[in-house]
Amino acid sequence: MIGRRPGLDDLDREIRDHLDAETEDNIARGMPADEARAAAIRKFGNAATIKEAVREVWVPGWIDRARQDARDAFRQVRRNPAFALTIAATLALGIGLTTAIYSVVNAVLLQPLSYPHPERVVWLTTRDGSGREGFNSLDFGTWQTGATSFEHMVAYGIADSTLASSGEAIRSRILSASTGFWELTGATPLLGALPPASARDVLVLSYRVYRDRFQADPNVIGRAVTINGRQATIGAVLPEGYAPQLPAFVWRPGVDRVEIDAYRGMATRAAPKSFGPETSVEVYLGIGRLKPDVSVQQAQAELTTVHGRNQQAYPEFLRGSVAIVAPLHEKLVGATRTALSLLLAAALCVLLITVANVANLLMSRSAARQKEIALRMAVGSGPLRVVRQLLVESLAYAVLGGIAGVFVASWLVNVVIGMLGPAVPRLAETTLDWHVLGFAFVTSVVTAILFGAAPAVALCRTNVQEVLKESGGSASASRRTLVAGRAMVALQLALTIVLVAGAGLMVKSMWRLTSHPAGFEPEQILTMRMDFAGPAYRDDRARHSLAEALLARARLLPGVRDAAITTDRSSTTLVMKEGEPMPKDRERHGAPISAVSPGFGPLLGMSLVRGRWLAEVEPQGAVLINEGLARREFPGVDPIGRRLRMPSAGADTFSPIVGVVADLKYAELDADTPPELFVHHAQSRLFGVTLLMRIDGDPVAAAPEIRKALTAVDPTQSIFGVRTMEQALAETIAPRRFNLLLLGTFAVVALVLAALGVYGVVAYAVAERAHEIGIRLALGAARGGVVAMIVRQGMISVVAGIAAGLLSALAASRLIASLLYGVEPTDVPTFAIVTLLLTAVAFMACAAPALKAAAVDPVSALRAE
Amino acid sequence: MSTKDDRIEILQGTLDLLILRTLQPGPAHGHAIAKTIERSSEDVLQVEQGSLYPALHRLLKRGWIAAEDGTSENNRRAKFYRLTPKGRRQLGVETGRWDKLAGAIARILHSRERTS
Repeated sequence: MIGRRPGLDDLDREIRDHLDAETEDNIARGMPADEARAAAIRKFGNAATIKEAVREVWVPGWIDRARQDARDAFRQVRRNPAFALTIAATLALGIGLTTAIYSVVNAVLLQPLSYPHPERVVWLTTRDGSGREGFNSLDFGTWQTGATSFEHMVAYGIADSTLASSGEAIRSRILSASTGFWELTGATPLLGALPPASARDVLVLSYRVYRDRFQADPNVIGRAVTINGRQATIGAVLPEGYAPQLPAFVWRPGVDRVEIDAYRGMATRAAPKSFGPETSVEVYLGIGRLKPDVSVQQAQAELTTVHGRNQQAYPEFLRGSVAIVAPLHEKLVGATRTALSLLLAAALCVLLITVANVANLLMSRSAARQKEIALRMAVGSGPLRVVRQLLVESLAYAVLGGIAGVFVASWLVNVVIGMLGPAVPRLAETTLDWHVLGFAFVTSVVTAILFGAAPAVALCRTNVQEVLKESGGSASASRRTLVAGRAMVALQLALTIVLVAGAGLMVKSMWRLTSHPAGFEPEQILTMRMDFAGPAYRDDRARHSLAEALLARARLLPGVRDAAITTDRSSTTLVMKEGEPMPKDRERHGAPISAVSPGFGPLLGMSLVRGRWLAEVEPQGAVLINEGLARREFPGVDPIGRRLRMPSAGADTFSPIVGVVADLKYAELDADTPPELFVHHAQSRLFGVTLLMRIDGDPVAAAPEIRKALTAVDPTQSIFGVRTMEQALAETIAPRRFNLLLLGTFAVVALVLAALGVYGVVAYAVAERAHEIGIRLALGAARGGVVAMIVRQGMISVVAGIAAGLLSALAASRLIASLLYGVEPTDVPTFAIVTLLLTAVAFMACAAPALKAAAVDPVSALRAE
Repeated sequence: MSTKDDRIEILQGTLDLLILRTLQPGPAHGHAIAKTIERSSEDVLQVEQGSLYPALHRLLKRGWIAAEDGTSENNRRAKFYRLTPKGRRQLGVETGRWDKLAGAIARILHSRERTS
């Protein structure tokens, strides 16, 4: 259409010719020249209107009008850049926070997994009475032959192994998988060919390891390496983007690095012939892909049947476990859904507070613009046109704020990933993609409508005559503005108290979680781990002497005040009491056991409740138990001197209990300390040890030197997991810190915005009443009285907002109950402190403009009118 | 010349039809079209001459007429409008429709009032 637009350009000439012709006609009819021209123009009509009408034939009118509105809007922005900047910055904050959380929600909850046919990929496991997951070769074998719902069913295991290549040993996380893994995860090699699952000694490198450890050498294929001393060759390299999302380890829930360094095949072992309580079977994790027309429910039903048959065949061994088929996406991120939804809701609260603030700003200024608006309406702009123009102006602010908000979001997401990357599964996948940008755009538009509507409507109800007559603007309009402003303030405070109360409860949870008993100073304890690998350490005596050598070396290092080793609850054992029958139930009579050097307890700062510590040499063997175990196994009896046997831990003879220690949370902060046992390390098999060192000074600074010195003890073994115990503990509550960090940020932003909101409205009220205040002061009113009056009026909406907010917060706090630890969702002290805090902040925000108003010279206030 | 009261304002659709009819004998420029309409209706139909132009552009947009440069009777360059084949067909359709409408309205206006 635009292409065929003949004559639009020479319309002016055409109209001129037309008028000339008409004028000539008129003259021919005998009119005087000037009258002829005037008559022609009169007969033609308004040329400007006609040109406009012709244009409108070709260009739809709304485009033109929108262009005009946009021009007006940007003129407003340019006329008052400081004001525009304030608004855009406020909006950038609100839109930015919301967009940041949305981008996380988008990456974690909304984006499909990076598998082919992600909707059909499922997680396979069994779960026993105590919630332990995983399955064994027996399960897997019968599932594979019995279940028909699956296109692929893959068992895999992840283990940290020592990968050595040309003399350099590194700790690597290796995933071993059965047939179908490559197809299921959609892997295509960058170099080489993917080996079949039966090729156990062919290693497939992740791109990261290929780049960092093998310097991206294209001739890496075929190179010989050793995995825990076993010969292997490199068969393929995976491309950079290959990262199938897999659940965290069964035995280390929550946070851990799930990045895989290398992959290899695994032949699932045949089922053992006989089972007993001491039979050890490998535990696998599993993923599968359903056939296209099979639902998760159908697959679940089938696997339950198959698993049931299996249980009947081996009742002793598989008692009480159920098979579970769950969408993998749900398994990965299901636990984060509550927290992320709440954070998104919190971000929306901040956004609403922002909107209220901006609406307030616009309203207080619109009072100043009443004259302009009234004039526009007087010269014939319809109210709709005025509303539209104000909305376009709001849109201009929102677009500026939205663009800045996207930068805020991008920055915030980077900060959060940097600080707490592993805390939330898939968090590192967060990017600002088109979904997120679309969200930011829609959010900006919606906020523009929200904060633009109030002042627009208020202005349109302006009585034109009244405003134009009065000098200072209409009193009733400013009163309306003030009432609306106070309502906004109440809303802001209500939302703020909800956020601050939520953050307060989380802070208290965190405080509960991280307050340690006196004597336990995890920030001074440096830990590092070594697993003994390779043919040199097949013999248990060799492993023991390496452990002793490490301990002895560590004790002599400068800065190390004390050192100890532990196997760190590496196995769970049945607890057999001498003179009592063998317990059957692993759930009720099992306990984690650690083999420790005698200095372990004192170094941690454990407190001895009864008996004595382990001695340097314990010829009879010795066991330390914690109070939890004493309560469970020896209720009402003195356990000292009783003898225990721990079959699964390689301690085959009975050893006496020599001491009872108080329960101490030294491994996981948000779980109760389990009943546990400690034995002398000489009594136990060692496959690796964790070294604990109490450091004088800064452990983080001392770590590299210590690590170097200890690596020298045996350079073929890799040292990993170097961190302070405080860092290790913090990692166990990383998801909570993530929640607290974000909610805390929201609460602080909300508090600041709400304070600004209160300040703005009170300041506006004071400015409106400057004249009246001047009169009062001139007539002798006490300045204190004036301040009190202003503050009292300001605090009415504050108190109303806080009251409403408290009720909402009490109702909403139940939603975050699952995110709290050791704190009731209606914790009275927290709510009391939060209320006091908000009231104090609001009071100061009211008092500041009041004091300023009362300080003015009454004479100048009166003259200003 | 008719007196002011006798003049009738014309509706947009009607103006379109009149323009098409005016162009039936051959191409004409804007002023000529305005004059023809006034003259043929014996000055009863009052066209605000300017309103002719939006109407011409509407017809151009629909492809019922086309514009080309030419020379006017007093040797001035002017834009001439002519009927396209599509416009000629449209004129037939519109004329038929108008006759029907006018006939129907005339019948209603001139029918004898029914006695009840």
